[in-house]
Amino acid sequence: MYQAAFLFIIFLVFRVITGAFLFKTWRETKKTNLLLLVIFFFMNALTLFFLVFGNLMLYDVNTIITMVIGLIFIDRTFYQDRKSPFTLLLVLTIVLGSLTIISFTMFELSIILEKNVAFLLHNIFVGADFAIFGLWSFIAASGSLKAFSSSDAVEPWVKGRYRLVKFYSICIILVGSLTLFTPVEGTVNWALLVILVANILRISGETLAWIMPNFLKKYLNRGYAAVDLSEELTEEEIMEGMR
Amino acid sequence: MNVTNLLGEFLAKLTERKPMVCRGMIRLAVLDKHPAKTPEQLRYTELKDVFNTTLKTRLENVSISNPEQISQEIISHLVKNQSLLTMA
Repeated sequence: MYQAAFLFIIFLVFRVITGAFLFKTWRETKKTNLLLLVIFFFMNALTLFFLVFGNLMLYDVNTIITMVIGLIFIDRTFYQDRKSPFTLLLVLTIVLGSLTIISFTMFELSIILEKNVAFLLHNIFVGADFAIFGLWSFIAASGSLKAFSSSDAVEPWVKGRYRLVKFYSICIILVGSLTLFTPVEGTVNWALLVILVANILRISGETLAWIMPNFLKKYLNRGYAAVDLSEELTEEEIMEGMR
Repeated sequence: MNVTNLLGEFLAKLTERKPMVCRGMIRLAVLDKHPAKTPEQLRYTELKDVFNTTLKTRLENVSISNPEQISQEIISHLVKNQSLLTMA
């Protein structure tokens, strides 16, 4: 845990930077779903803070709340006035979250043999929460991207952002699926190492997606002719063109 | 820009007019209701309201056939692509 603390602090800093950047964008646009994303990143930073200080109960509680906020963000961004599995996923996340907390309490109170079972159950429940969130995020981004991927009306950097969301969603699914295989405590195994790499990729992907630097936007937009001459038309010309 | 382009392109397909003119039409419809804003600066519900009201009126003013149906179709297109308002 202590060796990993340094890495968790780096993750935490990246979350805070992303949250602060999105907060600035939210203040300019006042779009409610962006505020949800700001809360998501700051809550995620707080989750890592609890992990650094070894308070796993608060880590679990905060993880569940963060997942719920993440689900609300996906619903408000991709599914307004559309058929959505939001209610089902929200209930599932809360039920699995409650089971995570119950199994962790059992883990803390139990003796060695039961400890292993309680820890395994805890990992299954919390892993399933991650997998649900990642899967829905992947489906939402894939579905939207598919709708306009062949259209020249949308700039390549925007399509790139959707691809990054798909990429980090896969990392979240991977983290959730492998949590089941992590060892009880004090030891390191293959699953833990893969989770670590997936988390590094996830955080890099999220940071790049939401704070996409201008040079990357320019690189992705290379060869794209973004000329909108409609601003140069007068109202009369537009109305005449529509007749 | 991305939202205006995508919806303008769609309006052009529906009305068989030039995309550049249709993008302008969307901008004008937005300005009618929100004088200081571009389509990209609007929230999803605000943009939906613009298509239901000022865009429909402007389409009626230029005697486009079926303005009601066109405004509903463009709203459906917005619903499908609503995430662009956040992601672009």
